[in-house]
Amino acid sequence: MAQSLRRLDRRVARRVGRSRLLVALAMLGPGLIAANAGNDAGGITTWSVIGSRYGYSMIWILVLITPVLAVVQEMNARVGVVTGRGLAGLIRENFSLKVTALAILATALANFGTTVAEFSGIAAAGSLFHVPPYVGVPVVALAVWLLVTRGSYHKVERVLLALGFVLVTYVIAGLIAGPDWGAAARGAVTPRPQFDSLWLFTAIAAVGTTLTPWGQFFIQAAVVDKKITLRQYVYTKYEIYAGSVIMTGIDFFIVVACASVLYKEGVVVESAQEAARALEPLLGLAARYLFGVGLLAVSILAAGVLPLATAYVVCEAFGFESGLDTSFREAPVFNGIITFFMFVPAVVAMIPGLPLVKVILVAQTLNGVLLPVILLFTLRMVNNPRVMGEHVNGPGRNAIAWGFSVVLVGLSAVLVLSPLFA
Amino acid sequence: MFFVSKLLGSPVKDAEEKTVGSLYDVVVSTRPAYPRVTALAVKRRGKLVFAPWDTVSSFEESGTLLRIAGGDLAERALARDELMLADAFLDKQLVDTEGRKVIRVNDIQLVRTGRHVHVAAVDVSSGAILRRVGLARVSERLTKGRQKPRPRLIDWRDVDLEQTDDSSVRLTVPRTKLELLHPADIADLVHELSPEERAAVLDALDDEVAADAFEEMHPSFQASLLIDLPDDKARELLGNMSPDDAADLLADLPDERRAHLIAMMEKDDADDMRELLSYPEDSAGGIMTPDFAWVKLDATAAEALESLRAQDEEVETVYYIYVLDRSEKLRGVFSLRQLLMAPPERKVRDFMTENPVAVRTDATEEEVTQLIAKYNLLALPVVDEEERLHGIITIDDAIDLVLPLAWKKRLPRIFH
Repeated sequence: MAQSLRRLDRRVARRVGRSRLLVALAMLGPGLIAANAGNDAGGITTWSVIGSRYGYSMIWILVLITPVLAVVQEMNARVGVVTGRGLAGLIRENFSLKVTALAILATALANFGTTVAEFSGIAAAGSLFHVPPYVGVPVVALAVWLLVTRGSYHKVERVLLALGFVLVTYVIAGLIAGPDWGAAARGAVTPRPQFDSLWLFTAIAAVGTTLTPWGQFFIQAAVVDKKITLRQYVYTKYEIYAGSVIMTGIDFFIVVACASVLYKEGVVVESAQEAARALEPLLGLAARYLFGVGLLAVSILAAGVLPLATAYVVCEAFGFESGLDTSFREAPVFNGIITFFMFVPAVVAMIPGLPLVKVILVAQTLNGVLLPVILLFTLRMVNNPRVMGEHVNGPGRNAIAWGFSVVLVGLSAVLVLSPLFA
Repeated sequence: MFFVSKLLGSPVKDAEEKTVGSLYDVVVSTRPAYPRVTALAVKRRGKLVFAPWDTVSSFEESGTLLRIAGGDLAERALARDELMLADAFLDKQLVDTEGRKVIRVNDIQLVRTGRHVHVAAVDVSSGAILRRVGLARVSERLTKGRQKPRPRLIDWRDVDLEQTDDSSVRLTVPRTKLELLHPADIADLVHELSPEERAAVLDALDDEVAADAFEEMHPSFQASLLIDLPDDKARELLGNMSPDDAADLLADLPDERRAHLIAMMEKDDADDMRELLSYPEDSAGGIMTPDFAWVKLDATAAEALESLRAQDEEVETVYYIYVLDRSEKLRGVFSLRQLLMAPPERKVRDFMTENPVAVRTDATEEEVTQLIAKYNLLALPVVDEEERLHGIITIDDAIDLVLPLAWKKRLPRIFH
C-alpha cells in the first residue's frame, strides 16, 4: 500500500514536472525573439568588425553588457505583464503629449533606418549565394509581410523562434576557426578601454546594436500580445535571462571567429558580408555559407520584428487597435504601418549605390540618442508604485539600470558631440 | 465651446489679480449625464488646492479669475460623485463594449451653459494632437482649402464613467455603432439643462448647427427658448425651420412675442406664417405646410422636371407633384415615378391622376390621418372651398398626430 502510494506520488510528480516543462516551453517567445532580433544585420556587422580589428580585446564589453541587457529587457517585460499595456501607451499616459510625440516620431524614424539596414543585410547575404538583390529583397519582404499580417501570434512567434536557431551557424563558424581559448578568456575578463575616437565609436556601436529602443518596445508589446499573466511571468523572466546570455554568446563566437582568423592575418573588414568573403580563403567555403546563412536569418528576423515594433509603438501611443491576431479590417492602422515599414525600407534598400554604412550609422546614432531617453521613461515607470504596485524595481536592478543609464548618457553625449571634435 | 487641454496650466488669479498658481485639473460632478464642473484644482507651490465653482468669476483659456483671496483656497477630498477630469480621462485609451481599442482621448470638449460649464464630448481627431503639441498651424494648413478643421467628437453620454482595472476608458457602445456627435445630440445635451442655460448654449452654437439641434428638440423647449433667445438668433432658427413647424411654434408663444417675431421675418415667410396661424391649430390648415411641389396644367414632363429641380430646396416632398390651373385650383397629381417614366414631350394633364384625394382646411386631425392611412398616401393636399391648393400634410406630420409626441422623443431615453 505504502509502496503503491509512493509510486502514485512519483507519477504525479513526473506529470506535474512534465506539465511545468510544457508551460515553460509555451511561454518561450518574447525573450528569445527580442534577444535574437537584437543580433540584427547591424549587430553581426559590428561584432565582425570588432573581431577583425581588435581581436579578442573587446570581449569584456560583451560580458559587461549581458546583465544590463537582461535587466533592461526584464524590466520592460515586467511593466508589460503588470500593466497589460505597451510602453508607448504608458509613456503617453505618464508624460506630456509633446514628449510622447517626439519620442514616437524619433523611434519610428530610427526604426525605419534600421529596417533599411536589415533589408540591405538580406541583399548582402543574398549576394553571398549569388542571388541578386532585386530578387531576394522583394521575395523576403513579401514572405515576411504575409506571415506578420496574416499569421496569428503563435504562428509568427514560432517562425521567428525557428529563425533564431539558425544563429547556431555562428557558433559552428567560431568552433571551426580554431580559436585561442586562453586569449579569448583573458579578453573576456580584462577590461582594456582605449581612448582614441575609433575605439570609442566602435564601443558605442557595440552597445547600441545590442540594446535598442525598439527591442524595449518590442519585448513589452510581445508579452502583452501574448497575454502572459503574473503567474506565468517567472518563465518569461528566465527566458529573458537565457536569451540575453545566448545573444551575447553568439556575438562571442562571431568575435572569436573573426579574431582567430582575420585579426591574426591582419585583415580588417568593414561589414559582415566582407567578413564572410574574407573567411572563405582561410577557413574554406563552409565558413562563408555559415556566415551568409546567419546574416540572412538575423536580417529576416529583425526585418519582421522592426515593422511590428513600430506598429505597436504608434498604435499604443495613439490608441488604435493592435495585435498580431487582428485582421486588416479590425486594425487597419496597425496593419497599415506594418505594410509601410516593410515595403518602403525594402525598396530603399534596393536603390543601387545606397551608402549602406551611412544608413546604418544614422540609424544607430538615432537609436543611441533615443535609448537613454526610453530607458529613463522605463525606469520612472518601473519605480512608480501607482503603475507597478508591489512589482516596482528592487535595489539591485535599479543599481544596474541607473548605472548603465548614466554610462549610456555619457556615451550618447560622446556619440552626438564626436562630429564636433573629429 | 472650449477644450480642456487648452485650460490646463493656465494661470489662476485671485480677487486682487495676484497669481495663485496654475490650473492643474477640473473637478466635475458625474451626476448629470454631462458632468458639471464643480471646482478647479489649482497647483499652488507644488500643492493641490481647490477653488469651488461659485468662487470663479471668469474661466477662460488665457486664465482664471477668482472672486476670493488666494489664501482662502484649501486642500480637500473629492466627493464620491466627483472626479478630476483630465487625470481620469485625458490621454486614456478608449475601448468599446467589446474591449476593442478605439483611440485615445485626445482632448475633452467643454460647453459653457450660462453660469456653468459642462463636459460635452471627447475629441478624437488627430487635429487635437497637433494642437496640443503646438502644431495647430500645421493642422490648419493641412485642411486648408477644404472645410475648416473640425473636431471629431464622441458624445460624452457614450462614455462609461466606471473605473476599469487597466485605467482605460470604456464606451457604452460597440465601436461599429459609434456615431460622432450629431446636432441632435446637442439637442439632448440642451434638454439636460436649465432654461437659461439652454438659451446660452444655443446662442453659442453657429447658426446651422443650432438650427439642426433646435429642430430636434421638444416643442415645449423650443417655445421657451424662443422667448429667451435674442431676436436675431430666434429669427434665424425660425427661418431655418419648415413653415408648418415654425407656425406651430409661434402659435405656442405669447401674442406679443409672436407678433414681434413675425414682424421681423422676411415678407414671404411672414405671409406664410400669418396664413398658417389663421387656421385653428388642430385643423388641416393648422397642420399643413405651404411648401409643396407643383406644376402648371399645360406643362410637359420635361418642363415639370425642370421646375421640380428649381423648387427642390423649398419643398417638403418631391414624391408628389400637384397640378394647378391658373386660378391655383388643384386639378390633379402625379408621382415622381410617373414623371420619370413619362416621355419628355408628354403633357402632364395626360398622365396625372385627376380628382386627387384632398381635404378642406377645416378638416379634423382624424379625417386627415384616416385619409392618409386609407389611400396609403405620402402626402395629402389641403384645399379651400374653391378647390385652391393651400398646402399639404406629409405622412411624417400625420404620424406625429397619431403617436403622442412625448413618446416619440422620450421612449429610447428611459433605457439610459
